[in-house]
Amino acid sequence: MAEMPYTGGPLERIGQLGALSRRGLLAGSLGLGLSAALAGCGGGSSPSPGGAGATGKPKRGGVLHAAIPEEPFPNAYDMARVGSSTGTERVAYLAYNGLVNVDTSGKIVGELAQTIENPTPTRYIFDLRQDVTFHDGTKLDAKAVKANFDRIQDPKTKSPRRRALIESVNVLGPYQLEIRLTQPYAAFLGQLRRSKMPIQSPTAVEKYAASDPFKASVGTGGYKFVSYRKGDGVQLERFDNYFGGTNYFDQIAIKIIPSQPTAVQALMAGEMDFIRIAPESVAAIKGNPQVRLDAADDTFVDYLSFNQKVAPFDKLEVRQAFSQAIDRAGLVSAIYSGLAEPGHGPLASGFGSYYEALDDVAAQKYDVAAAKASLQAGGYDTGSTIRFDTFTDAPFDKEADVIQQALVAIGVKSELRKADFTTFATLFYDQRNYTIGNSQWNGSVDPDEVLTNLYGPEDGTTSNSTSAVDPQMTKLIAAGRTEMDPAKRADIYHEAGRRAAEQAHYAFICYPKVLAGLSAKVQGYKSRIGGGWPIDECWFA
Amino acid sequence: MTFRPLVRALGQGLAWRVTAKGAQTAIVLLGATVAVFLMVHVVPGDPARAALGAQASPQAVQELHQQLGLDRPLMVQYWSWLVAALHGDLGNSIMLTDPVTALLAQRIGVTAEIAVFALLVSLVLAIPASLVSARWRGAIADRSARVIVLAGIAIPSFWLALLLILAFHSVLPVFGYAPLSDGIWEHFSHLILPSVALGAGHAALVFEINRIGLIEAIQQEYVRTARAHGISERRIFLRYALRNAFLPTITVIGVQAGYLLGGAMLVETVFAIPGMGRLLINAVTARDYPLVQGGVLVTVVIFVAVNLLVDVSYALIDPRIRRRIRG
Repeated sequence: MAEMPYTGGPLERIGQLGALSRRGLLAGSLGLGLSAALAGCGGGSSPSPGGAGATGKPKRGGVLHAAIPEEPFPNAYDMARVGSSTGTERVAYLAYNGLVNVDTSGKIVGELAQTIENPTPTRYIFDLRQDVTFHDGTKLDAKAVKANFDRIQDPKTKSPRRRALIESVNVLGPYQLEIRLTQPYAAFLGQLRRSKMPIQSPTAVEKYAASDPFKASVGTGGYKFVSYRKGDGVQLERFDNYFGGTNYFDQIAIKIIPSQPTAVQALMAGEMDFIRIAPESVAAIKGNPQVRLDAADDTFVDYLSFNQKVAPFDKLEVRQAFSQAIDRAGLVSAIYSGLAEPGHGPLASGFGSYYEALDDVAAQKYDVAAAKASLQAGGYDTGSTIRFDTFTDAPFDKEADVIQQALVAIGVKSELRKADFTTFATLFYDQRNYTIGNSQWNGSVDPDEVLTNLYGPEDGTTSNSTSAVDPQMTKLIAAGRTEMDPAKRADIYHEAGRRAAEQAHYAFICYPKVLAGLSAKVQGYKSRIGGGWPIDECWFA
Repeated sequence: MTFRPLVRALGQGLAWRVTAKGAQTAIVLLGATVAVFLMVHVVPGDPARAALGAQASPQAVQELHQQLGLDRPLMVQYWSWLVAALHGDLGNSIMLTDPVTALLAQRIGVTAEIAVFALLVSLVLAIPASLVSARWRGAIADRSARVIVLAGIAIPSFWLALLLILAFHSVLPVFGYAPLSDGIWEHFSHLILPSVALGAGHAALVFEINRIGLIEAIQQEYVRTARAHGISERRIFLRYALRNAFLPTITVIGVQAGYLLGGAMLVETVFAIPGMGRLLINAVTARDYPLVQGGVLVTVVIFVAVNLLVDVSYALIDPRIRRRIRG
């Protein structure tokens, strides 16, 4: 099964990428940052009930046992050829590094890049660390990084990670790289983070990519791949020449456990040290002193999508009515055990300064009387039954049940169709053969990625399931992409968020937290927005 | 097991029987592949979407769809697959990229092991219990056994699997598969809970059929005759009644081979065992057409082969059938 909205593990974390100041030198070693640009950004872990986090002095040793719910995507873990699989990205996160990464406070920080210069809005200069070695013993330099970009940009590779905005990648010196863009793109750096643009050994790629993608999966990260038994699991071991020095386990053993109850029992029995937790499993692990729950704020957004090619969802009043019928707080309590925030707009609170609560927008506020009035104003035929598509992964099927009942309260009858995710995704994203359906957006690092995908053009390049293009949103999205000043950008996204909420192309439901279950002996876990699986910096007490 | 000695021993009659069965098998296989091919293609869901993930753009999905040749007419796709399959090539998995034959070969041993253990569990539980139940029909032991059997039939294997995990998670491994190279105890301890979960329902059916068979058998005249000759009850039950009661039981075991394979799919998912069942479930959810078709083909072959073995075993157990075949 494809990694999909909330089916397994901490899903793609959406980080906050602030804009760069023009001509600004973004200096620093690993603390390099865009902190100024990110002022006010949120994200990161909230205090977890069991107090997951760094305590005590890190020490080496032990085998960390972790679970993923599904098979890695093809061609694991040759990431240039892997699609939008957050499950695969999470495992790859342990073995690779990016030019940049997201830190625990949500800032974009240099990783393989020691400094980043942005002399013009379309030009980035990266000075690379000089102490980095790939797991195969070859050195990381500017040529190696360029080889990665060249491969992804080459149409022959058919890489799902190809960046259309990259004009050229040039080696300026042994450890200096230049990337030129075709137009300014404020969200660009975030797209280079570890989980999205991991740097592979060109030597291994050249030797093995065509014959054995797993052997081509050679990075610079704290752990190197040892074995991958398809259907069973992945083994990694510590890479002793890791420049970061934060790889404490001797090994990380990852098992594929599709059943959440099994994974939870394995965690409780001490056979697992780290698993993702679905909301319905929270109660099961609470009270077990051997287990901790980490609930981290993120930038996920659950939504109900209206196909506006299907009447009467072309009418604003009808969409508003459906949105107003949903008791978001009640749903969060019932479905997410309170581990989510009620949502009113496309940008979750994890987006920090770009976030606005929008709970004053009538179209996204729970109000049954107003919903009934809107329904009437929209001329909705309450004698009809509409189709409601969802998929059978928790908690989306249950979320759909709650929404269906909410619609009954305003006199709307719906026929709920629960399908496996592949069926749902084909109908919902590809064919737009649905009327209303609920899903989630995650996996972005910047508001632009959320808005472009939810409101982008209907040319097949975005995941806009509504079949509607709002010219005003298009204008705001374009403005946000090219505006490099974070304060001005925040204003643009506040306006875009409000517009999105008012037009109710989607009913925004909630912003779920990312839940992880850890054995009590695991120390140093700090969830971070922006993707990845930061168990690579943990250790055993 | 090879059939040649058996065929020689039993003569041309059995040879014809096997040949006829072989022809039937070929038709069943062809029919199954056509049915599965149509089913997996008719239901919505695109393997390209599954392979690229939830957030891939529709354009990227469409490109991969074409790369995989899924835009060709269904008949063309099926014919290509069939021709390759007749040459022993079941294609490559879309999700796992490996050849389907290699993937099935890796997993089939695991599933077979669980199925065999489940079968053993079911026989160990059911046969002695049915003997006791039939011998002391109506007694507390019989009634208790029948209540347990009803529960065994009613409880789905995946639910029983979850209950077993809850009950034994501190004693036995609750997930995964350990190869023999990891140690004998490690290997077998990983098989206990899945085998019990899968075998329990099967045991219930075997118990019920065998019990009925035994009760009928002990009412036959030959049993009365044996008793009149002073043969012990133990010998009558084990030597005469059980052997006669066992024919319908064997039929059930054969038919239930399909159940074991189907049940293994659920049990493997719950216990995170990398067997053929889980492979096929993943293949179905990902619309991995080559893998689904290859997996179904192999499953049908196994099912038919087991039933053929059951037919042959009748002749081994019952001399009357052997004589009839020899004609």
